[in-house]
This record gives sequence, C-alpha cells and structure tokens, in this order.
Amino acid sequence: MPRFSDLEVDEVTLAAARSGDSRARVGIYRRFSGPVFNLARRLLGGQAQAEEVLQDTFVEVLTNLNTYRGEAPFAFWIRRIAVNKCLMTLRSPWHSRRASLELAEDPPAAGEVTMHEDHGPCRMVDQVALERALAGLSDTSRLVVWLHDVEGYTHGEIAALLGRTASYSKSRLARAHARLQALLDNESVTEPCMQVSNNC
Amino acid sequence: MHASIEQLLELRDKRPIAAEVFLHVEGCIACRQRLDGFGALRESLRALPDAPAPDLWRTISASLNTPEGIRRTKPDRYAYGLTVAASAILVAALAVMLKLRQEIINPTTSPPPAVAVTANPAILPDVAAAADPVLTSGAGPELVELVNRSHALEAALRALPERRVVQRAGTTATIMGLEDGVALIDYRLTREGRQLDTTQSRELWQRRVDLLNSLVNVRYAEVQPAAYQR
Repeated sequence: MPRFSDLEVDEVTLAAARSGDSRARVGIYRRFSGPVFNLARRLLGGQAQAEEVLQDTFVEVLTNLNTYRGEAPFAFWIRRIAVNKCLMTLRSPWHSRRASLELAEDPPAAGEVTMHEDHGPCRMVDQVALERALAGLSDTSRLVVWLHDVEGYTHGEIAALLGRTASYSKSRLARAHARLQALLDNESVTEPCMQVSNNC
Repeated sequence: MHASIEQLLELRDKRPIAAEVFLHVEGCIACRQRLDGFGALRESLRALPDAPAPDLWRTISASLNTPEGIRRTKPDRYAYGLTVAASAILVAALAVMLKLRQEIINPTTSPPPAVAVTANPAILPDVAAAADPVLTSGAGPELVELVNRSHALEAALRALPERRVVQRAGTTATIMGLEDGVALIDYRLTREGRQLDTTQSRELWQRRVDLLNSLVNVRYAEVQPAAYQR
C-alpha cells in the first residue's frame, strides 16, 4: 500500500472536489483512506478507533478543502489532520482511562545496553513478533517510533505535536527502541542471518 | 565506553554526532552490530503489512450532508458518557442473551412446567397482550405488573424521536444487541408460551423489562447530545 509521501492529487481533481464534485471527493477518499487508516491503526493500536479516525479525518478534510493553501503537499496536509485526530483520541478521557490500566510508561528494558552476540546486522525481525512488540509499547512511545522511523517526522515536529522538547522526543525514541529490542529478544523472535559470507 | 542508544540512533539517522563517538562506533564491533540492528528494525517497521481500509465512504458522505455528522467530529463529554453507558449495557445484554440461548439449546435443563399460566400462549405481542384478560387473570399480580411495565417502556421507546442517519458504530451495536435480546425473549415466549410455568414466565418478562429499560436509557441518551455540545 502506498505511503503518504508517494501520493499526490492533481490540481484539477482538487478544484473539482472543492466545488463539491462527488467523483473527485470519492477519488480523494479512495486514494488516501488506506494510508490514513493504517497510520491510525499503528498509532492507536485498535481497529475500531482507527475507523473512527478515518471517518473523522475525511469529514474534516472534505469540509475544509478550501483552507488547503498548498504550502505543503496535499498528502502531508491530510496526514497532519489524521495525526491530530489520533492525538485527540489518545488524549480523550475514554482512551486515557483505558491506557491508565495498561502501560503508561515503558519500563526500563533489561537488555538496553547489551545485545546478544548472535543478533548481527543481518537479522530478520519476524513481523508478527514485531507487531506484538509494538503493541507492548506505551501510546506515546509507539507514536514517537512510528512517526519518526516510518513517517519520517523530525524530532522537532514530534515535539511540537506533543507539546514537548526535541530532547524529549529523542530520549523517548531511544527508550522505545530499547523496549522494542527487549521485547523482541524475550520472545526469541529473531532469526540469525543464514548468510555465512558477506557481512554476517 | 560504548555508544548509547540515543547516539546510535543519531548515527543511524545521519545526524551530526561527536567525533569521538563516531570513531568509537567505527572501531567497535558490538556498537556496529547494534547500529545495524537499529537500521534493520526501522526497515522491518516500514515493511510491516498494511491492512485494507474499511469502506466508510457512505458514512462519510452522509456526515458531510448532515450538520449533526460534522458536529459529531468534535470531542464531547456526551460521547464519552454514552460510550461508557452503552458498553456496560451491552455487556449486561450479552450475558442475558447467552443465558437465554443456552436455555433454548438445552431445554431439558429447565425444570418441567408445573403450572400453565393460561390456556392462551404466554407471548404477548405488544399492547394487545397487556389487555388480554385471559392471561392476566391467571398470571398473578407480579407478572401483570411486569407485562404492564414492559408495555410502558415500549410506549416510551415509540415516543422517542427517530434515530439519526449518522450513528456511532458502538451505539448502534449496543442498540442492536438489546433489540436482539428482546427478540430472543419474544421468540421463546412464542414458542414455549404454553409450557412455561409462572416462575419461568416471570423470569422472561423480568428480563424483557430489563432489556427494554436499557434500550430506553441508551436511546434517551442518544437524543440528548445537544445539551452537551460546546
């Protein structure tokens, strides 16, 4: 599935959508619903909440098309709205209450400093285990990891979203990675590289 | 001294870092392995499979044409309260439905009917049943009271305004769950009406009243959002 950075909408479609053309609007939805839904799914960790964000994001996008001035790519404008919706969900009393019963802060990872000898540069990470490890992070850590490592947000941008400093984002990312490594190591989900020659 | 995770991530992301750290990592096998591990993990994250997005276009399109739908996107205390209430009621309704299903599947577990309530079926379809003098004459005051409450609740439900076009999925699921529960009881009353004794009839009618009461509460809460809109 394409990512936000791969998607764009031409000016003609955008103008038609602004004027209320339903085909153009459907086209925008079809093109961006996948990336929006998956971003929300990753940040929130739940299907139902991701669906709510998908719905709310497109209602806002399509009702505010006239406010898009083109300073940033259209895809990034949609992504920003989606991320804000996710943050609103994470900050909502309903989610906070649920999260308070779970992991608010990542506990210090036991294997933070050392790394097993057999975990060389070519190791492959099992996708199911990685999904599970991601789910084991706190909401904030998961958000920082995903926005930084996958969506390419800078620490400054993440800091602005969270109302914190860039240092906070950096340290959160480091702790999240330590936690991820620990979770993956604990589950023994890594497979050593089988290539004997080359880099391994 | 090995490089910290933060320093290794800075290196991975090709951001400026102290020269001594860079030189250390260059010459340290352990640090290089960790650095490569962080790079591999990032690639693995990016390679995680996506899920197909649900087709919500109809709902979104309806929201765009409904002022309520647009307003719904604003966070409100009503939504939180309603969700909590709806979830609690849904759990209760599911428990009732599960018990009923179990009884329908295993009718032998129920005690044999001792006393038939009436010669007429125990099922009371809507208002007609409450006025059925044959039933109410042999059913006892408690059952008559339950039947009357049941019909009062049904009247209250009918008096509420119709549901909006755009609904929250959670609320709709709760309402459907409650309605299914009522339907299941009605089915049982229809099928086994003649065989039910007074206790069984009272139990079923009590559950019907409880479910209808929950349904009225959810529907009533649903038509109240204007009071909480900011």
